[in-house]
Amino acid sequence: MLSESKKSGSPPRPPPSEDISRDDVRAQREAKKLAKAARKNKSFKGKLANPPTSTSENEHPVVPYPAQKSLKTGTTSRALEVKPAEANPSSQSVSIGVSADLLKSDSSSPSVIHSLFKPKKGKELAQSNVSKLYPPFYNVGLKVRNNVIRGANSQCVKLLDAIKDYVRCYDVPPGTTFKHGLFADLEGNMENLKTVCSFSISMSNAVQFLLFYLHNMPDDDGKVIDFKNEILDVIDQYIVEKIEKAVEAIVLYGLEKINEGDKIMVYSITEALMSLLVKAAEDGISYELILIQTRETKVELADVLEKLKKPTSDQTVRVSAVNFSSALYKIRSCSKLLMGGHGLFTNGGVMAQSGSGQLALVADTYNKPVVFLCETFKFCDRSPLDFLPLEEYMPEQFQTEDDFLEPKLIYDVTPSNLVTVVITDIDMLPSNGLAATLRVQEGSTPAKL
Amino acid sequence: MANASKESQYIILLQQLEISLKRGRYVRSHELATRTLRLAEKYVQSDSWKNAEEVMQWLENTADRLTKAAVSESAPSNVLKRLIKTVQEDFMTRKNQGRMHTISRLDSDTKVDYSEELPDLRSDILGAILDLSSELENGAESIAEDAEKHINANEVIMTIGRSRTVEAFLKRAAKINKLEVIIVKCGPFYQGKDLAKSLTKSKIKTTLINDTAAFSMMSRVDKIVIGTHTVLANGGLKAIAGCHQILLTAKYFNVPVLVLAASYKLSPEYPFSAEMKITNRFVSPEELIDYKDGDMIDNVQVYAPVFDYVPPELVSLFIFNMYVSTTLN
Repeated sequence: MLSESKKSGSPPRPPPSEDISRDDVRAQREAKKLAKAARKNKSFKGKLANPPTSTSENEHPVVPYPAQKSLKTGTTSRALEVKPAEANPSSQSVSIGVSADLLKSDSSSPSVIHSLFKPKKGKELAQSNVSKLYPPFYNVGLKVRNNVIRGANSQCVKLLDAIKDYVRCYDVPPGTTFKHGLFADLEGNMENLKTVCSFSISMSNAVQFLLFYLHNMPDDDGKVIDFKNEILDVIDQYIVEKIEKAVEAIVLYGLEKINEGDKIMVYSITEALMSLLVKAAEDGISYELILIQTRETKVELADVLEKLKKPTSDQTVRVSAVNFSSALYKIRSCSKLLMGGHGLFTNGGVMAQSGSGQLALVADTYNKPVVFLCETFKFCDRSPLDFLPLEEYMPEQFQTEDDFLEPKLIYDVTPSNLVTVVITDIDMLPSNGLAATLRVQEGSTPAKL
Repeated sequence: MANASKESQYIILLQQLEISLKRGRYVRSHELATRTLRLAEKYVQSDSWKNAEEVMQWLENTADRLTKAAVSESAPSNVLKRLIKTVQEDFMTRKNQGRMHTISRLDSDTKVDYSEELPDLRSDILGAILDLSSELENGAESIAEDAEKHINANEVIMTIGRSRTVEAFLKRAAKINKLEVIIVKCGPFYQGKDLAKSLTKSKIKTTLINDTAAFSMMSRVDKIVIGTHTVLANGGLKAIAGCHQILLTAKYFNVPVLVLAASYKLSPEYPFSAEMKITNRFVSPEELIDYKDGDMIDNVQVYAPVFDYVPPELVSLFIFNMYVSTTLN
């Protein structure tokens, strides 16, 4: 401590008592200034920038801090580097107090969980592009976004209808062929539409199919009207084959799985699932239905009851509803868990409404079969391990003023080992086998999304 | 006159407690336990009993009465049953004064006659009640003392629903380490939001998710810390609805589970039957179905149970608030 004055060659020290008090006050003032600056800058860089100014004010050099370092832990010593080292124990205690304060105010490191939900770069909503969007597309986009059109199949159909309208009214711009012009304009429109509402897998697959088809169309300049008719026919065929007939096929396969007297637990209701339930009731199979409800799916329950009005009233189908939290309460008495899927992946994962992974796990624990119903056009050449790589998982999030994050997760991915079987329009398959079957059948690899 | 008023005091308290339980004005277990303890104190202070046997009889009867009033709330009877044990032990201590104090064993041959009148038993029991009530008050803090042992820096903790014990625990841990909390809001009450607001005030980074999303988020969670309504005799829990599923998911992802429970939550109740039926209660399912869909709901049964049974193998660690008491088996 005494070596200090010898090293610096500073003027002779005044009597110790006065020195202590002055140093004390100075140290406190310094410490307060630094704390304020650190809170402003919120980074260690800011702190390191400060020492030159502080040491210039104070004539005491920064020497004895190695001795001080040994006293304190590694974290506080970093903050101490910055402070002018004082020889007095009282000021030392002041600096300790302040450094702890600095540590607390260092909330600059982002939350691990919050950063999961930050919108990915470039995918934020862009307002300016909406004006370039064809109005019926915008119409569909708004309806999808506000959940007026519910259900992946109906969203897809409505979008394709809007595309048909677009194609009908399309005028080839000068300097380009019909095919190229339509391709570019349609692609541009779809990109813009993605900023209005997020596409479900069914919608993006349909658009991708159409663009692929356009790309492969022969290049010669025939009559525009012929091209247009061809495209309209293709779209109609897609709708009939991939959506309407697929649902019928699924219902046929699914009927094998619903037996008399079954107790079926149902979640993630899609059109295919709904049609299956209605058909089974119409065929006179008497079963019991247990609907899993969450706050978000109130409307769907009303839909289901509406469709099943006749069977429920004459007691062919007995319906009960349970809160999601209490699904376990009922699973033991059920014979199977039936869910509608929104998308299928290469690794066998099935995308469905958020919560289906949980229910699949619960059913698996109690050894009940987990059956997904999914049309093949919803197959997606991706292998997400959980919900985060999915762009569709969360259209908007919600951050209240209180600074806690409340994300709205809409979909999740059920891993393939929890899925017993997926009923598709081709066949009933274990979820792993789906990718291979599709490739063999179509003879082409779907393009990477 | 003073005696009569003391007697009527405890009778009045008992009636009030019983009525509020019957009417379904359910409050926190903590409050129920405090009220029951106060009731027991009033009884012991009064002159309605002469010996230990009468006290224990009264305690048992009251426990039965309160359980009948509200089958799903076990806090009152837990407290009273613990008092019975305390009375037994105090009696033995008094009796064996000067000799070695032995905790009564199951295989002890001597049949104890509790109807002996011991003069200082009253003050002993009152002292024990005082101990119990201070234990009750400080329950949350003493559990929170363990916070630094179990939570390390930069961990992501998941909690379910709103438990005040967990709140104190997390706030205590946050003073020492940075941590993040994910709160799962569960039906039928969805109280998670209040907890989120309270935690953000203490500068803890909070995320609030639905119970449906728990499966998706579980892989990012380091630990789960939950409170519970009751701890059953086999080590299982009676916790809020949704806990079992989420803890199953935790097991699937190998996430350790800590359960915080104050001593008044320990119950000698076993879950009955192989299907693990527990004394449950059901509330209005208005969160699930709107009243306006009423005509369609004619043929639909809607259930909204409040509690869930969690088997003991899903829990990694229990943290209790007991440090000294030996009265609990």
